Amino acid sequence: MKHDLFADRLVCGTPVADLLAAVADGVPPPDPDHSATCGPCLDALDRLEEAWRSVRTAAEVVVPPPKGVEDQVLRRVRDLLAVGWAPMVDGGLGRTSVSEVALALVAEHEAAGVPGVARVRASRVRASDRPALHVHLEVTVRWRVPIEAVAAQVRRSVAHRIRTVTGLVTERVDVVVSDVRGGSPAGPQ
Amino acid sequence: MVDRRGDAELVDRAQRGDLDAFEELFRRHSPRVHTVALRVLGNRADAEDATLDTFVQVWKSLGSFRGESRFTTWVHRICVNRCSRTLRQRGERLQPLPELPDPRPGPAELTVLHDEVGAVESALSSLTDDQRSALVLREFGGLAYGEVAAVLGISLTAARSRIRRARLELVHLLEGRRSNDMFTSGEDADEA
Repeated sequence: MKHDLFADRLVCGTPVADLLAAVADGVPPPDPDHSATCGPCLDALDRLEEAWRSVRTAAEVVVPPPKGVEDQVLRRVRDLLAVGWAPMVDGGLGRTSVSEVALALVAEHEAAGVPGVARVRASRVRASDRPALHVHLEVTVRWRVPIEAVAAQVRRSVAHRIRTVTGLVTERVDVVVSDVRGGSPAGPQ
Repeated sequence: MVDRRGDAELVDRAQRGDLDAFEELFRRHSPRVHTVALRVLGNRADAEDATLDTFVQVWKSLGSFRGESRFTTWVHRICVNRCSRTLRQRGERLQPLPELPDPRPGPAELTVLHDEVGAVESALSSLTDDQRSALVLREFGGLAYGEVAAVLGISLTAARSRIRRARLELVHLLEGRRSNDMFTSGEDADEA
């Protein structure tokens, strides 16, 4: 016999919500001895378990945000980081400020053009002793390129380009090679 | 569950302006936060906006986070507040999601999964905003009752009561749908 799950209580007096809470939280019912032998409770527990399985299934579907959201978050955070700190160049008739975001983009663009670099991201650009800059780059290199030579070229090119474009001095360019693209030791492409 | 000690160290570094640490916090927590936003708001575009705004707000407010609650509880609170704003602005009932978010299983499993998840999404959209937020935090966000209460700014008793009512309502909706499906498939069989 099917018992009414839409009623507040089963015919035995047990609140349906109590049984549902037990099912959902994965704990025994409030009166386990009664529920273990009560027909209406056993029937209700079976049906509630069946209904709640769909909820569990849906809850297991974790939906990460698209990559674009992460990029936008980081861009906006970089913008916020740039507020209140912007290296300046005295241009005689006035001063020019260059935000960290702009510097990061210049560094990324320049490093991406160095042969052997597959992908690059400027995770930090900071002034240690203004207006000298510290640039931190995360780089993916191509398979079988000489990494130290590529890193050295990235340092030279980025420092030169930042100086040329903004007039600011780059004191340090840290390069972290985080990945290699285009092959593997087992089977280079 | 995300390692709390690891979070504390990352938060500490992020509070000192370390963007790498913040990125790691984003990677750890954004899947669950985005899922909660998606289930509360019911559509992808609003959920993405909410996730974006949540983490920008997290960055802005990191200085005020004292570690008195778990980091995940704090982030969910920001997320739910952001979602509530959207719901208030929208001022209308939610529509069920038309699609599955991440179809990894095969076609047959996918159909079953799609039906199950779709039914739950549809039922969720019929709950009141308050009930849905509480239920989603508990079942989809994996928060304890006390954390749900903290996120929603209500008492533990009120949180338990809200979740209890929401669960009952959800099961009634799912049961009602199942009865309708059985009735419909019976009619189909009769016609065949």
